[in-house]
Amino acid sequence: MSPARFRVALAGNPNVGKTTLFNALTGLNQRTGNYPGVTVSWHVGQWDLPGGGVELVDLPGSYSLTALSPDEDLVQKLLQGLEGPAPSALLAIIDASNPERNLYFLSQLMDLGLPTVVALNMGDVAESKGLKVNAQALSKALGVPVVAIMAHKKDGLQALAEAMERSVGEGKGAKGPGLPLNGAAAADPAVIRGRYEWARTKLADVITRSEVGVRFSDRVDKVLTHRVWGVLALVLVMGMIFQSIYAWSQPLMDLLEAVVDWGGKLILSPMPAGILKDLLSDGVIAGVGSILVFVPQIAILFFFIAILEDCGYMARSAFLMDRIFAKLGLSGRSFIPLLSSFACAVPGILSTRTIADRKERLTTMLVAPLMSCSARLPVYTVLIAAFLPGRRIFGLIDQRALVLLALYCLGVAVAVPVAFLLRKYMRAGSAPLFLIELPGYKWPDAHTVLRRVTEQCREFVTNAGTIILAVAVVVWALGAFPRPQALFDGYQARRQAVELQVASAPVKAAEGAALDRQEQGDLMRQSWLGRLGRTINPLFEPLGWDWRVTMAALASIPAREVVIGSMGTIFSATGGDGNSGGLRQALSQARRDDGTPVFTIAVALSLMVFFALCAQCASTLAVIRRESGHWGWAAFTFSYMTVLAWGAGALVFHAAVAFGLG
Amino acid sequence: MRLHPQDIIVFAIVAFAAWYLIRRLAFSAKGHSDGACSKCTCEDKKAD
Repeated sequence: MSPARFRVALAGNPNVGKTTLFNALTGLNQRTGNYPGVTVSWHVGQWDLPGGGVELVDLPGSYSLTALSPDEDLVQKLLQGLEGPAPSALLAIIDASNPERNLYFLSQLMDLGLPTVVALNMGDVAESKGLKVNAQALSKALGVPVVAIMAHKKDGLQALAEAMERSVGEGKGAKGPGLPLNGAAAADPAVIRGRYEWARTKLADVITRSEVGVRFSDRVDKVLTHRVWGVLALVLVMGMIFQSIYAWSQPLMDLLEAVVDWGGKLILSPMPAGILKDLLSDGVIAGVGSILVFVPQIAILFFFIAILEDCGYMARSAFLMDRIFAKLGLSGRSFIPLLSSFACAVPGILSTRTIADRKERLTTMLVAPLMSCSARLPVYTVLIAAFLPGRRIFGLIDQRALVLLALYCLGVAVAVPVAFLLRKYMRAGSAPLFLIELPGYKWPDAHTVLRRVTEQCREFVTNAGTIILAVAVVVWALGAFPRPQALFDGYQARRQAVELQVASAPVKAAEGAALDRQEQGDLMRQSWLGRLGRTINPLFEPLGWDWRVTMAALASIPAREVVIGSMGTIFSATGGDGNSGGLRQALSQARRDDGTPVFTIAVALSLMVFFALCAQCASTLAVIRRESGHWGWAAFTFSYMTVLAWGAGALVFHAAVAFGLG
Repeated sequence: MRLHPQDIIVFAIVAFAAWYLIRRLAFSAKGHSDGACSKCTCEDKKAD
């Protein structure tokens, strides 16, 4: 690749299609979404102009150069060369369906005096609103090239490249209204009025308006943003998603289980018995195999998340939640990061950069990990599948889907009082005013949905092959060593006795298998893992946990989903075949030293509630530290969530026992 | 005690897994979100 000749900054209002255009121009795959605030950091790619490649920088969306929030501050710094080299030219993208507000920001960009090309996007949306913007007339009025494009259809991109090449070649800087750009003067109401006046003047002979009836979007919004029907619709949508996760994933999970099982046999059958075979079967295959079978559930969850993001529903749900959040001192602006956290808390916390108020941002950041991320899904589903019957309520709703929905709601229900207390502790005032532009509804783009699903599945599989594999191997080693010869000799003598005393072949086989399980159990009990587990376990006994459950939970500090791999390793070593079906079976058959079951419904519920509220994720803590600028907030998050998870787990366990579920 | 070749292989695999885990956790401790998962932002990549 030849070195870039110069840098072009791609700037515009939020949700006008910047990243879609950036991806189309550079061939990259940055995430897009039909709601404001998807891009909160900057991305660089190469854009091939007729004269050679240039560096294109995708900036976060911004309404003005007067920075209010951290992402707008970043835009200002990038454009002024305070963060990396200053751009030599600007590619300003404007939404044809909302030209006046877009031209307000354009007036500031043009006041920077750089060669500027304007991409006029979303002409189709404008037409549906009865607006038609004449690109040629706008170009004449502004004095810079204006190219009509359709970023999602990749229309007009060649003309855009040619216009940029010409514009930079001529070296003529754009001329805006010449109003102040920095300091208090830029925020002066007279200056703001002046910019809007400039925008109206420029648009005077450019727009033609026609009458349109009540739009489809408006009709749908009457229901979806209604204070009662809207909330009901939100609960219904979420319920349907969880129902589908169960209904659709099972055949695919069964298939994957069979593949893992077949692969395991293929690898293990030619191997001689020994420690290496034990590592592969109980560590690698049981650990990684038990988590890999959850890929279909992850794919289904993100399929729906991507559809909701791309069709424009996310912005509506933020609007809907603003009323509820305002009572707690948070605004709907906090809801988008919290919604993103249902997929993963890391991008959720990053997207708090759109929040201007520091205290509101910090509060949102600290409660974001309470939202049930996708890593918790396997923990919930394996325990629900193992211990809850799949009864249907009213013959329609799967009881397990309802429990899953309740676990997702638990995070939100706990986040509400926690946010309220945090705001009180920080002495933050009332909720700042929340303004959000509701994007038009559109059919989700198949490519965007597919990309989101494959990205998340790839990430899940990568985690299984790296961090989960590493933890499974270490947990296996801790559970397999030391290996005292006396223990093996004792069991060998018992096997020989069975061989000599029992005549019936099936009885001999059954007793041999029982001895194998006993030997594995004794080996693990006297292992480092067993000793450590039994030392720590009194701390977790109020939650009803056996030492093996405690160790699996503690091993998952790097990432929550690791607990499945660890349980796969620990429980398959003492019986079971490692894959998820085997894991479910191994969990339901596991026994304590006194012969009582390790898992009851009460224990399963306490474990699920613990995982719904705990902070077992190193990445999340790392990103809180970076975004808050202090380790103290990460330590606080870990501490309050662990205490909360422990308390709620113990409460649920004892309540379930009281109801006879223990 | 005599070491079997299998013991050496197992020891190497376990040592590598432990080293990998420590390295990833140390990476998180530096404040990088890529410490334990692959959600690395542009800033992280630059910092690395």
